[in-house]
Amino acid sequence: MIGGWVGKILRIDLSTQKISFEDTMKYAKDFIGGRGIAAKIAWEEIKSPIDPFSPENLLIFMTGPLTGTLAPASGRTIVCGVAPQVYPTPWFTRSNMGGQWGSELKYAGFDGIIIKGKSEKPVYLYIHDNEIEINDAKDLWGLDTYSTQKMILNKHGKDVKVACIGPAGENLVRISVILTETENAAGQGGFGAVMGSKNLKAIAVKGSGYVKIADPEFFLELCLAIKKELTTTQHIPIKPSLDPEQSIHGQRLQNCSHSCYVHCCLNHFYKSVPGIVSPGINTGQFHCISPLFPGIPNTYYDWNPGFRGGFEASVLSNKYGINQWELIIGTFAWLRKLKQEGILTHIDGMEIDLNDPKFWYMTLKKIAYREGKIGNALAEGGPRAAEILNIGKEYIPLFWAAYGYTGHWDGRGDKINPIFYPVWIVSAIQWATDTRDPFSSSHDYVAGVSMWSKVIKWEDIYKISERIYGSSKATNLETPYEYKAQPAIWHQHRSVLKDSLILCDWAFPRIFSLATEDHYARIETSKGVIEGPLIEYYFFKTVTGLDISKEELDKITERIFNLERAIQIRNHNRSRKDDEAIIPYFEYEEFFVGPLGKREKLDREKFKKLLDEYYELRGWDIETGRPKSEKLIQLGLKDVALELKKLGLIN
Amino acid sequence: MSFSRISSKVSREITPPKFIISIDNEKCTGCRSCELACSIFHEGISSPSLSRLNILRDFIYGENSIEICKQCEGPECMLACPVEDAMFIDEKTGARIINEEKCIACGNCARACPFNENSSIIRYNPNKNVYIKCDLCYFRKDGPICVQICPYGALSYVSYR
Repeated sequence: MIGGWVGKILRIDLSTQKISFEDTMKYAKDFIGGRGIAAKIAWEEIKSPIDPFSPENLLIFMTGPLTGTLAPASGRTIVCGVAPQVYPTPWFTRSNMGGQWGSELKYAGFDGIIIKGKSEKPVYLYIHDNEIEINDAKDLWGLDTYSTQKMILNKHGKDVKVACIGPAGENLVRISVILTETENAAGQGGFGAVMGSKNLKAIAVKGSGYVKIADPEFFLELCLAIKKELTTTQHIPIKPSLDPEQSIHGQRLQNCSHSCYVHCCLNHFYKSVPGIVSPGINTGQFHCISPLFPGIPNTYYDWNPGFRGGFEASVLSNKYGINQWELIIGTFAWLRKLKQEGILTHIDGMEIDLNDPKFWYMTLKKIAYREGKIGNALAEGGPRAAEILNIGKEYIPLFWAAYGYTGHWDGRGDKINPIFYPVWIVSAIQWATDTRDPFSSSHDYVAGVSMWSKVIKWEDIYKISERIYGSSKATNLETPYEYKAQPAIWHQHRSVLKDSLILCDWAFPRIFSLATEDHYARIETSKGVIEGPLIEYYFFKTVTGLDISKEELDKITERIFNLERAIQIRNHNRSRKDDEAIIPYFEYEEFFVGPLGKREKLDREKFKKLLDEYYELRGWDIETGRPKSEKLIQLGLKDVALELKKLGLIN
Repeated sequence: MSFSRISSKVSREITPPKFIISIDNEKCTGCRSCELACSIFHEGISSPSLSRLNILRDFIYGENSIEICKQCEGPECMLACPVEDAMFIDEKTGARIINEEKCIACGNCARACPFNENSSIIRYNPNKNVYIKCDLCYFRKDGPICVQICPYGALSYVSYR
């Protein structure tokens, strides 16, 4: 028996309203699910650079074999397509959201949905137990994300799960999100605007079906063991509690994703926070970047619109459907800088003042509705806004790292995550060779090493490095430019695996632990001890029942990564030159002072040598940064090798 | 299913429950792991609609409530069952249990249950054509699986009285 996948992918052409089905297993054995299957579909069907807002763009929602099972945080979904946020040229990339929508889609009978075309009028989809309705969304168009969900729940029942867009997506804001529940969003890439361009307001799903589990007994055992293991980390509280002072704001325990037993965001839900600018009560999840809306004293983000003002702004951005990460690390931080430098002091007569809740409120509204010259420009995302307004371009690299994405775990753009030299050298390789901010599904090395080094001894980290990467130099403070390509590749493949199964980035892979003497994560089962980094493999095998070796699963992740690179090469002529475009950004001094006691910046020549090593290890050509044809063939991508060769793009 | 079972004795008289699953809605985070663990343990598949307990979520206000069999002292479900021995009481736990071998799927139990307005405490399982309800995992060595998987202690397995 094969478990995990439910068997069908749904295709909808909104231009013709044509609905068809495809067998998931056509793709699953070679590309797993989620990001892997989406890459295969994009390779086959997005063959040239296309306008993200054109009907021919695909909007792919894909779950994985673990979605809807008891594997921790398995409710996640990957969203892929040509992303309008990408700068300067939109290209195919991915985003990912939690919540319960992905599980419900599988219970309704589908592993994924591929949406093409453009509806003549606003519509929403209602998918329930293999039935597909394309319904009029006249009454929903214009509503915010909370109201849209409430309306759909009122109509189709309280158990329905909805992924939808707000006004920002409708108005093709390039930093708009697809949101489910109060704060789970496919946030990066601007996929909300792709949905808006297709006149698709929401996708509601409801299912009474099931996901088969090949070995239910061992699967339950694994889940119970991992539940115990998940509470042995240092960055996730073992048992978060409610703050008595926050009872006034109705603080609640609320989890983020279906079947999640990680405690990372549990006490970040508030159900009754009075508005400051607008009367009424605000409610919602307030996690990850949200606590930066009210600002945090003694950090770079030390603005202070107050808790209530910040909470109101956070909820408003979720209701409009605007990317919070981009707003905080990018837009608002950049606007404050422009004000400080005297470049821009007012927006449509209103002073730029991040201590004023009204400034946040009005600016969010201007972005969502593209109001005024500045609001309309900010709706294009920071780098495009600087170009359109012809101001503040010199400050763009202070906040935006590459591809139109603000910095993240790189020691510069985001000035809150405590990463330091030389940890960000691995970050630089990952940024250089990805299609987006790599770190929404690859916190493992950057956050892992940065944060665990404050809790356990460096010697323990070195030993664990030796075990998983093959050398302690992978994390050694004394060897900054040695052995960094290996961990970068290892983690890129783990990121692919997580995004394809799909599992939560905060929970996997398990590497460090407080429960073991050597601080290496492992779990005990009736079939023996399983090392932390192998847990995903055992989950995959136990749920699907596929007889697959660890090496074969690794090879699939490498195949997917190479296929994504091939799409870049064919559609955008991607080469080493483009990868090296990240270098100037890392030549700025790092923001934090690390354990070596001073601020460092990237050494260009040494980094180029590291890139040589990276391409070599990948079986890519050092000059061009493109996979060699024999590498692609070895990975089972012969058709890809032939096509790239025929186009003269590889040798 | 190959789960190891522990032996149980059956009572034909209606005796009070010995154990129940007690709920604390304030501690429920709405993750619904319990539903999935339940359906995997009992049915071998992952499916909230075949779970023997139900989590009602209001995601806008972060309110969750748990619906699960109370193992009533005077179980209306048992009294309504027309088939002899199609429902029985496990002596060790006092759980009120549907015997799937004998259930004729008439649904009298589900209609008789005073707490079943959402059809989630006693449910119909179309795969087996039987009704299903919480059996306190009476044959499981470590007790109810939902209690064990719950990450925040919203469910607890306690003595009755």
